[in-house]
Amino acid sequence: GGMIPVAVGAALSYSMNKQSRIAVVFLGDAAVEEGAFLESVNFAMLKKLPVLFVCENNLFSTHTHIKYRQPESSVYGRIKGFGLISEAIDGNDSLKVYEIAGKLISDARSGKGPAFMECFTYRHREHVGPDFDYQNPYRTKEEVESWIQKCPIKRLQEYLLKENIFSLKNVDEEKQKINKEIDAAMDFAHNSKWPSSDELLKYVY
Amino acid sequence: MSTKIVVKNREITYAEAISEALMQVMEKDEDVFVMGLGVTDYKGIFGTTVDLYKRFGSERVIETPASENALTGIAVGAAAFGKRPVFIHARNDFMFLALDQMINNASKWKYMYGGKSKVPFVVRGIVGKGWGQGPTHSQSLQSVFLHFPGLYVAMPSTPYDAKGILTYMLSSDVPSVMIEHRTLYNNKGVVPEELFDIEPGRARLLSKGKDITIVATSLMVQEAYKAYLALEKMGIELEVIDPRFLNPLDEDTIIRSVEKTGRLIVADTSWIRCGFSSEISSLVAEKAFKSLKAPIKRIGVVDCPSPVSKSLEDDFYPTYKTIFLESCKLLNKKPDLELIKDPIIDSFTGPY
Repeated sequence: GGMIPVAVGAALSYSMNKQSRIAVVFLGDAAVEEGAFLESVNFAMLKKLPVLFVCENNLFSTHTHIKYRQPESSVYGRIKGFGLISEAIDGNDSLKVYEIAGKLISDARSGKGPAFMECFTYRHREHVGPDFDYQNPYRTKEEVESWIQKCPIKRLQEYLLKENIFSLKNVDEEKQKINKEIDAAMDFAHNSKWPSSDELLKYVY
Repeated sequence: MSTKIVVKNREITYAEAISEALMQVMEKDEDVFVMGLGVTDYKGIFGTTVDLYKRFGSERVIETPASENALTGIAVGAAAFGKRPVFIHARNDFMFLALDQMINNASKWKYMYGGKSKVPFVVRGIVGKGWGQGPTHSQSLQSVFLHFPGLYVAMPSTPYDAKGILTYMLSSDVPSVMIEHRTLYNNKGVVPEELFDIEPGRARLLSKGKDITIVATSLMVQEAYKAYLALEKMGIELEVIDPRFLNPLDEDTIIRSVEKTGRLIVADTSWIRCGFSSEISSLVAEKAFKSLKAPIKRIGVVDCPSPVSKSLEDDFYPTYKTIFLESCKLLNKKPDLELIKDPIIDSFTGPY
């Protein structure tokens, strides 16, 4: 949650410099528990700053479910009650995210002030690392698999195929492009040297 | 920006010097702005922002809600995107709420982003003392900020230094903290009318002496000087050093002085445990060990929270008398108590 106020600061600089830029900050469902979040919202509302707060609510703060952390009410509902323009949507519906974010961003740009988007989603794999972790007691395999069915990329692909915007050939091409990019990044990482010791003290001041 | 200083005979107070630095820099640099609780009220942070608000209004002198945590992050963001905020805290004690942003973000920002982004901001914090300020309105946080790499920290003790140091910080790209002592606010001193800056790493020598080196910060500088005057009458010579910038520190001046005198006292405004005085003691023990003729003495406040009652405040805070007595002890000389018999009269007469 340390970056939430920084985004508001960026928005403050845009506002002071009379630029038509907006700041977007992505936060998790636990970040709204930090005092700094509400402090940021208060100030952004007070000064009508062009900042969009996007909350990816994936139900978990590391391994602790939201029901143990917050009173039983929706995040979006509480923030809306604070007076901030708020929306709550299926975060795994890419087109919906595009539509709502687009509206809130253009509103912010035209001086309507800050807004909040709660996007319901889920973390398939472990908190940090590449593996699945449903062997651990905090959630079940069934729950994880039910969310994988709602994967946003899978759904967007289905939509594009159905509407004939994409063909299967296009899908393959995109996958190949992406794999190439990942492979190139991996190669670069594997072939890069470790930083030399003189880098340790660079940029301290 | 090192210019030849032409010092005309003009005296202004410590508070006026701070206000003047801000005013002159804000006229030149439109990215500088001020923010904080109370910056636009009629007191204007003990007079240091009143004129700024009159001149620049609420566009550049921003009154803030009681949200030091987020607001410091907001200052970080504004600074990272081209502005130069000055965040003012009426008491150092409130900076505890700002530490996450100052230390986890500001101090490490440039490092974390490989030099691609920076946080050129200044945080001003005032130290309260006496008048029943009490435990949570009289702390002095220099040791906290010094411990973590990435911040410049200064404690000006004179109006000249206040203007010069603040001016330097306002154009520096390094996130900086200026700690100002409320008790010094009404002190007058010669200050150039034109803009000038004081670069870090240059300590100020108030007196030359062969017997004891004393490194003193902030309010303790004038106490050290008073002790020097009294000890002179006993034939004891004190070499008084005001580091001004605590980071970057002018180590050379301190080491060279101890190599000459062989004895060191460090007098700080805060507790000695894990404090700035302990840091200087270790530094000197490490780098000037062979020169030491006596153990190093640290002087600070008593190891308890600041009391509220005046009589206990008198016990709590060290004065020139403390320094005088410790100096005599260091030299194994019987102190001439006549020289410190006058009652302590607070130079600061308020109002707060």
